Amino acid sequence: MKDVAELAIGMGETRGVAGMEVRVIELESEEVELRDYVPTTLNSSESFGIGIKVYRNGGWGFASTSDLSQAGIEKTVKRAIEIADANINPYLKDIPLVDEPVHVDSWSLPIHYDPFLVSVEDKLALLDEINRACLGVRGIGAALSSMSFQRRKQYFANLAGSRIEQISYLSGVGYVAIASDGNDRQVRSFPNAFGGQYAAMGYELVYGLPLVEQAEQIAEEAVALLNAPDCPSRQCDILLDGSQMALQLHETFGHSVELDRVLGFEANFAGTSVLTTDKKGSLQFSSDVVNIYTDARPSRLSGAGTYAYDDEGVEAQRADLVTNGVFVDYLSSRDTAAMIGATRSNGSVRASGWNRVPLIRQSNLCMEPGEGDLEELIADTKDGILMKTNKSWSIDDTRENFQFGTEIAWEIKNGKRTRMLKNPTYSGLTSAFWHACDAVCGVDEWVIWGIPNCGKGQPEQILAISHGVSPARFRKIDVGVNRAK
Amino acid sequence: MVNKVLKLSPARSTEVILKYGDIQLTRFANNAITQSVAENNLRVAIRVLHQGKMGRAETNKTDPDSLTNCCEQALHLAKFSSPDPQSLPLPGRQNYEVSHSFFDSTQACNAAMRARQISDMAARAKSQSATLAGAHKISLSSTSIGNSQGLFAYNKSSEATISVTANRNGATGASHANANNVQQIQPEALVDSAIHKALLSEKTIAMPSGDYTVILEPLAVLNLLSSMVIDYISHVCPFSGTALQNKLGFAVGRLGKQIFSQNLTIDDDAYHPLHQGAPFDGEGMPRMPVILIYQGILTQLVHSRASALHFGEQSTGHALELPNPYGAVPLHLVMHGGNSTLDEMIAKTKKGLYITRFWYNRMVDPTHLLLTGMTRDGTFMIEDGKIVCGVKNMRFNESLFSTFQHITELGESVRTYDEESGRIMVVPPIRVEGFHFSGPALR
Repeated sequence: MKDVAELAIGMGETRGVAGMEVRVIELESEEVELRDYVPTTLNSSESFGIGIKVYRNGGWGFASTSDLSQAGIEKTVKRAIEIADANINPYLKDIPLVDEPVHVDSWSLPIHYDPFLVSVEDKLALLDEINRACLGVRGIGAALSSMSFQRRKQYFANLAGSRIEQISYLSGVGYVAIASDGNDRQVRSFPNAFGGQYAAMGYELVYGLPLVEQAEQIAEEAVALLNAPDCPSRQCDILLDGSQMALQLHETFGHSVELDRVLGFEANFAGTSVLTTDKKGSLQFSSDVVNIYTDARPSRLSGAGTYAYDDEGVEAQRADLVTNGVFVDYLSSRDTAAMIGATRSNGSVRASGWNRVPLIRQSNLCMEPGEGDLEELIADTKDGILMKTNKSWSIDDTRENFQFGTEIAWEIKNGKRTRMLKNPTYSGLTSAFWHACDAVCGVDEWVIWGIPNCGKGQPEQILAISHGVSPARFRKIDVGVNRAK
Repeated sequence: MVNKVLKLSPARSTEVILKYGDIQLTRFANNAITQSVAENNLRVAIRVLHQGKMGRAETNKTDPDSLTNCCEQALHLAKFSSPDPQSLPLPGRQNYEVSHSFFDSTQACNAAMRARQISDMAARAKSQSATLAGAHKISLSSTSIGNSQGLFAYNKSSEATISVTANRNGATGASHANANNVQQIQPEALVDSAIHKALLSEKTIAMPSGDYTVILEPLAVLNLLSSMVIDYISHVCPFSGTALQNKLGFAVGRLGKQIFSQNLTIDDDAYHPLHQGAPFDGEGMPRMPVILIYQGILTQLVHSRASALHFGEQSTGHALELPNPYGAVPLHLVMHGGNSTLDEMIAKTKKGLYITRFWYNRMVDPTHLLLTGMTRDGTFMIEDGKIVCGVKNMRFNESLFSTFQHITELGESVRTYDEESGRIMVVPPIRVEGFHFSGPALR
């Protein structure tokens, strides 16, 4: 990898580029999925290539290839330069990149069990056991369980002299039980929707989750939902479990603070943001119980967005984004940081592979825990609905008007969890919703949830990110809006 | 190269798929280029069958050692897999139609040409006091499939996409175009159309929730139909035999029944002149045209070889690469059009909404096809047969059963591309009665 990167850097220097970043990446992955007792996915793959970004004449160009021969690299360096030179009226023309120290470093994510050394037979056997437990519950029509693993080896080099080697892992596991009675179909997932839980861990993620132990209860909940009443259409307090809080944070806040989006670069595709630059440091975004930060640094928490350096060679950092409800910062890159007068990028640039240009992405975007536990919060709620595990999510192109649905809910009356409700939904406007947050559960309920399917950019890049959150309560929210016809 | 890989495989039954792609994309915003990229990749997928079991491995390393390792990895996975009903013996040689989807003019459209076109588009927008954001993409691809039973299929295609969003005083309008031949796209017309929508949106009013007569441009129709193709919760394509076999998706209990209005017919046809898709599927089977919905009746599903065998039918040539949970998927949908023009539809509407596109549609209740989403970049009020002003974006919650049961008019079907889903469909504009909006944008 190093030789390939150095060869490309040398070719760029010879051709007089003003700046250059090279990433050589080897991705290995394995995916296993079982529907009932039949493997529906059993795939092993590897992808190896180089992505080259050059700066010249105020513009930049990016080219990538899987042809790592000397001729292939030379052709790709030349192509990146041609693209940079072709950029008439590039936005970067008079905007420098903020400084970043030169880093020469090597980092490898510590794992306990290499998932690629666990046999496929053992993985299939565990998924089979899970599905068997789900399908053993009367009323369950189908069970889907899956695992996926990724090892990413990366070598970063830039013209300034940074040389960074990183090896990271991403593991994921989960399942869904599907109940059907001919008239209705209801689902329950564990530990989360979107294929389960994902983390920067080895196979210890799988060993550490009560997958089989929970299967029967999850399946029974799916069946019970068939006969549960629909979530009513009205206004009441809602309590969101941790996994739904992760989704709430991700969609309504996380994407809103991507600085490229704020500056209009995504206006044609993903959209824009209501958190415009005039609001930084002054807007009371939410109630004062809300504190949000980003932290990609390696730690024992093993969020799916963990790295030592981002894909621009910027050291991973912790940055506060909302402090006591006040919006204080964005997720930034070296160019966008310069555009708003910041002195350093907060290291939020990632690429899904060697063939994609690095963009501003969420990594481990978390909310500080508050106090107490979920049972205490329920006991403190007179009229509310507890919602759990995301099922649908829709939000407008400014990240303001949203409607989310969960798999299951329970009504809360006078401090007690009462009847189960199906098809729960809630909706609102981002800032008003966060202002309605009056309680966040404590550290004992705080979990870092991995979401594997965050998409952004063109060509689209799918990345795993994490959100550390506790359950929380929001006052007087519209629920059941889907049934208001 | 397919034969080279087949010779390396230690398994008697081996399938090799080569996918080559060269993608170039230039994005722009605020009237300036913000990103310009190119990607070149060759992917090799190897699937082997071993004693009724299947394994698959992929690589983009094309040296002999890596390809040998990939073959061995696929066999290794197959040996440890469970028996799989999809593991039918590989098909033999097939005959294919020829698609006409590759154009030298598209291949020749390089970064400099894209930059010049973008510069011209931005200047056109500036002259009308608008700022432009957008993307200009050129995609060249080829697929080869071969197997140890003598099957061989090859197809190459080119595709160009230009999309623009114009912003005038905070009001936005968008236009999109996609074609195999880049010369069929007129960038100036796209800019003018987007600016026209933005202009109409400069004065907007908030409309209350309720049921509306809506006129949907083709992209909005695609946005709705697209949500029916894959059920992401159950990991099935409801239009496929695999879904029915697993008793999942909306087709369960509805095959042969009237589910939509009689004026609605939907085919899947890779050979439609406006589609020109690959003439074979992920198993190398020839694609067949299939009538999914005929005059509102759910008539037929698409099949892989496995689901076809289960139902005693023939493969329709819609399988994805195996193994996969979806089985078959219709990728070349054609909604038959009618004789109405958009102007006629508007003229016939006393009060209603004109919708250019939907955004971020998600299924709330897949059993009842209850969908939610937002309008975006151009929503207008119609009064007494005329568009009178813009409308603030609105959220809908509506069942697609209801939507497609209340179509009163259809226009001419056109090739339509959606950047959000990546789907291409041939669909008409339609007029629908009683479409439910749960609320206006609350801002």
